[in-house]
Order: sequence, then structure tokens, then C-alpha cells
Amino acid sequence: MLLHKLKSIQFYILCCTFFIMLMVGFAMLLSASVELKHEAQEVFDAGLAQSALLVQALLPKNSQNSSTRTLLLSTESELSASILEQTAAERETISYYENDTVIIIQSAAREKMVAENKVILLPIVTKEGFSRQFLNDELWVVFSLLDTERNLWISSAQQEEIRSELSDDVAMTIIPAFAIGTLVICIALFFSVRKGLSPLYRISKDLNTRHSDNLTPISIDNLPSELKPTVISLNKMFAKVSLAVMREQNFTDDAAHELRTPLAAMLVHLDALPDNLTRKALYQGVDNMKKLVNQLLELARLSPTSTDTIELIPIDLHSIAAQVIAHLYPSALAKDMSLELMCEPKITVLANRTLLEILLANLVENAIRYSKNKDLIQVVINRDKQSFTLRVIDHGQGISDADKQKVWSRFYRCNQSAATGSGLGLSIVQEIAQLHRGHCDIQDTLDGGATFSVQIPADSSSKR
Amino acid sequence: MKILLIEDDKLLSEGIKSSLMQRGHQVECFYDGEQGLLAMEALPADIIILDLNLPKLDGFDVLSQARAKGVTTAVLIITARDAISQRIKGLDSGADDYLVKPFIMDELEARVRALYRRANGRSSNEVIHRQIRIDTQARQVFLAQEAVVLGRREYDLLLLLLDNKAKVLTRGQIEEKLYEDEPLSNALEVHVHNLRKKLGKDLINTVRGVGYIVAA
Repeated sequence: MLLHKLKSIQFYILCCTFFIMLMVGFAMLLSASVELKHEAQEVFDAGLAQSALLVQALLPKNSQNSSTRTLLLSTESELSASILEQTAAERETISYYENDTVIIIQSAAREKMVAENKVILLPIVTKEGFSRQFLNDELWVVFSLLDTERNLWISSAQQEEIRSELSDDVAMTIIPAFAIGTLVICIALFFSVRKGLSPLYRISKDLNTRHSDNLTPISIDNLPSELKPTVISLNKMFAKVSLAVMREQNFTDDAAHELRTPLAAMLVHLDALPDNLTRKALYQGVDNMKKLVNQLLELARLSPTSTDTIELIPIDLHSIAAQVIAHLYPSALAKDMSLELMCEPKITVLANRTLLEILLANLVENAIRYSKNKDLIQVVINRDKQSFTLRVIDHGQGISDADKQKVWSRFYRCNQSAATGSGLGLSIVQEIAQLHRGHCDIQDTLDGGATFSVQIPADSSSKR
Repeated sequence: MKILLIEDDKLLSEGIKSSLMQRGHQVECFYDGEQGLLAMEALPADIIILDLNLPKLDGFDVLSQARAKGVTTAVLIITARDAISQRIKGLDSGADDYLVKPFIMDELEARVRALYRRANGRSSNEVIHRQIRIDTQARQVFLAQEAVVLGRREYDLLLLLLDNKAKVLTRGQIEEKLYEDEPLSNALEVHVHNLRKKLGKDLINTVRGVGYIVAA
């Protein structure tokens, strides 16, 4: 039951141990007190009997002749007992305390004497030997013997409460010792369980802190034998996943490359066709496919296993942006657009050159694709102490608020009819930004159109 | 010019061949690395177009073995692989240019021409762009048959831009070619301004923040 909702092994072990210790302790206490009580009773009983016999032996012999009263008085003096709150006239019974033991001597005609007694209520002795009687609502153990010679009952009595006091006291002394013992064991257990579970903590910490794409195996050195099988199977799983990821990546890469040759053949043969609308349409189709293939390749290059190894080097943002714009300018020129770069010369940042080129090219291509003829497209690059921001500002149809979130997902296109893109460009942009620990955003351009901005921390190398 | 084409994809090979032949070149096709290597050694050619992914003998090996045997013909690599490392490897093993598939025929031919020009010098002494004609031997420029007087730098800049028609040249690229030392900050602007004044306002387009381009 408890195992079903096991939340912490350490807590579980501690609770169980504490519970078991408690039960064992309780049982020990119980058996010790019962046994002690029994032994103590025997000792006390022996004492009780001995006291009565001793009193009998000490009584004067001539009691047959003297009155009971005289006898009692003499007994009193002989035993130098304390007379308990009784007037001399009524002193037909004496009680004598020693070691919590009361000695009572009374005449055989006890009914009368009992009735006469006002202070100490005498045990109503009915038989020789041990008996238990209630007096004043207290339980007494009484040992009585009949002195036939003097016609006297001699009884010794002890309060039950006093008799059990000893065994209870002894039993009680066990409790603090046991409590301290339990505490010490629990504390020791806490630390040893903690120490024993430390490899588990280490593994979970390792798994927690590693990058989600990190599929390298966990070291099995210094692991206890109980954990080894688990970690080994975990490592096997890592290997399988990493193989699958690699296969997927290789497949995309190979497929995209293999597609390039037939595409090249199509393009080359298109050249032989007469220049008409059909050729233009075919050319457009092949060109779209070419872009898609290129973007698939870019995606494959960005896929998980390569993320931990992206190489960051100091690069000049201005020269990269200038090259990307120079490369794409002819397609802007074909639509009679102006393409501007606003960036102070020599902005050096730490980034991956190839990826940043891909990012910028995708944003600018997008802007060219979705802008109207004669539009102006601006690439603005700023940097401050903490970060640098790339902004590609177009004055095209803009992006509705509903679409602003969706455009980052793969194969999404805002305007199905007008679009000629693959829908991969922006998701590539986002992945590259994230690889640099940056983020992307879309705003509306003030006088219409969309502004895509990518903000990347200046020191994107720290902790990925 | 005479071109050797070593490409294993028949469809692509035929397309390139017919297209180049339409443009007045002689083309011979080979379909694997071994054949290609033999052809490179045996046949005279102006340009060799070489695919990297070839049966029997890899394109890299074909190239390096050919170079080792003394083949000096300019080689243009066409390949599906565009990783920078591959580019560098290709150029290191002796290629003169590198073109990633898929490409359009205009681009392939332009590259082939550029390679040929680099190997053999300018094919003619004339550069013509719209109404502008440059006699490169006499270093003279004519606008609609009228001679125009240009400064040395202006002439170099014009020739550079016309040689790279339809391509944006960044400031850095231009300055590197034109000036030996670090130029004055606005020297380039002044030269562009003068060229526009002398040869027409819309000759050179400014790509703000980047550089200049002469539209085709």
C-alpha cells in the first residue's frame, strides 16, 4: 500500500524504521514490566509472610491468660511500633508500618474489633494465607495467620500500589533509554540512507542538468551494483535514441542532396524550352522546390545532435549582413525593390557565421517574397552591452495578430494563395536564434508591413 | 570553347550538353571517374566541368590525380554538397570554382566564361553595356559613340562594376581592388558620383549600407 505512493525512499525507510522501533520498544516495555511485576510480587510476598511470622515469633507467650488489650500493649512496646491515631481506649488493634508493610494483630473475635476500629479499617481476614482486599477503595495484599495459642490473627498487609511501584519504576527507566536509542538509530539511519542513495541523487542531478539533446551515456564508474543495471539500460536507450536521431538527420541530409541532381537536370532542361508562360510556371515550381530542399538541408544541419557543437567565433555582423544582402539583391532588384542595410561598420559578436547567414538570408528572402513591387526593405542591426538585435523591416501586407504566433511553426504559411515559400524559413530562423540563446519577435511596421526582430545575447556562449 | 563534362546523371548531363552546345560550345560527356580522368589527360579542353559524386572514382580523386599528372585546365566543380568544408576541400584539391546544384544554365555558363577569361585573359578588347563601350586596350570609354574622359580610379571602378554586372559589390570588395592603401572615407562616393554625372544617373545603383551594383 505504502509502496504504491512511495514518494521518497529515504522518507519511507525512516518511517518504517521508526514504526518498527516503536513496536519493538512497546513490546519490550510490556514484557519487561510484566516479568518485573511477577518477580517483585514474589519477593514482596515472601517479605510479607516473613513479617507476619516474625511478629508471631516475637509475641509474648502468656497471652492465654492476659487480656487481649494487655497483650496488644506489650506487643506495642516490644515492637516499638508507631501507634496510628488511635486512642488508648480503643487500642485493641495495632498497626505497624515498616517498609510500607502494615502489621495488624487482632483478636480472633475480630468482628467486634473491626466494628470498633474507626481509623484503620482492618482487613476482614477469612482464611490463612494470601488474599487481596479492598480497603478505603485501595487494594491491599494481606497475609494472615491464625495464632491458635493466643487466639489472635496476625496479618501483614501491603498496598498493591506500593508493590507495583517498584516494577513500574524499573520499567519506566527503560523508556528514556529506549527513546534516546531510537533517536540515535533514526539519525544514523538518516545519514546512512542519504549516503547510500547518493549515487541515485548524482544520476538524477546529471540527468536534470544535461541539455535535452545530450544523448551521451552516463558514466557507470563508482556506481553501486543495484544501480548499474538501471543506468546501463538507460544508456542503451540513449544510444538507441541518438542512433534514431542521427538516422533521421542523415536521411534528411541525404534525401535533400539526392534531390538536388534531378532538380538541376530539370532546371537545365527548362533552359531549352521556349520562353513562355509554361516555362515560367515550371521554372517557378522548380525554384520553389530548390528552396525547400535547401531549407530541409538547413534544418538537418540544425537538428539536435549538432546543437552542442555549434561553433562560436567572433564575426563582423556588418560584413555578414552586407554579403547576404549583396547575394539577395538581384531578386529584390527583379521586383524593383530597394534593400538597405543600416548598421555601423565593425560590429563584432560571438556567433556561428554560417547559421547567422542562414538566419538573415531567410528573413530577407521572406521580406522580398511578401513585399509589393517598389517596396523598401531595411535591415537594421543594433548592439548594446548585453545583446545585439537584427531587424528586418518590410512594408508589405503585414501579419495579422492571430498569425504572429503561428508563423514560427514548420510548414505554416499565412496566406496560402499568395505564398510561394516552403513555410520552413521562419522556423529555421527561430531555431538558429535559440541555438544562440536568443529569441525572435514580430511587430507591425509603423506605416504598414511587418518587422521581424531577432535578439541574441552578446555572450551567447555561456551555458547552453 | 571546348568543354569536358564529367557527370554521372545522364539527364543532367544531356541537359547541360545540349544547352551549352546551343550557346556555341563543344561539349564531350563522360559518366564515371575513371573515364573522366582518362579524358582529362588525353583530350585537349578549355574548361572541365566535374561532378564530385562519381561512380568508380570520386571527383576529388579524379581532380587530384589529374593535377598530379600535370593537367592544368580550369576545373569547375558541380556538386550537391554545399558544406563549407566540402567547398574548401574541392578548391584545395585543385578546382578553380565551385557551383552547387541546382543551378540555372545562365549561371553555369557565366561561371564557365569567367573561368575561361581568367585562364586566357579577356576574350575581346571591348566591354559593352547599354550605350557604354569600353576599349580596354586603349583604356577609352565611349557613351553613345562620344568619348568620355574618366580618371584612373573612375575607369577602374567602372570596369570592375561592369565585369561584375548584376552583382552587388560591397564597399570592402571595391576598396580592396581599387586602392592600395586605406582610402579617404568618402573617396568611393566621389568616384561613383562622378561616374553617374558623366555616364548617366541610373548606371550605378546604390545598395545603402552595402555597396553598389550595375543592373544587367
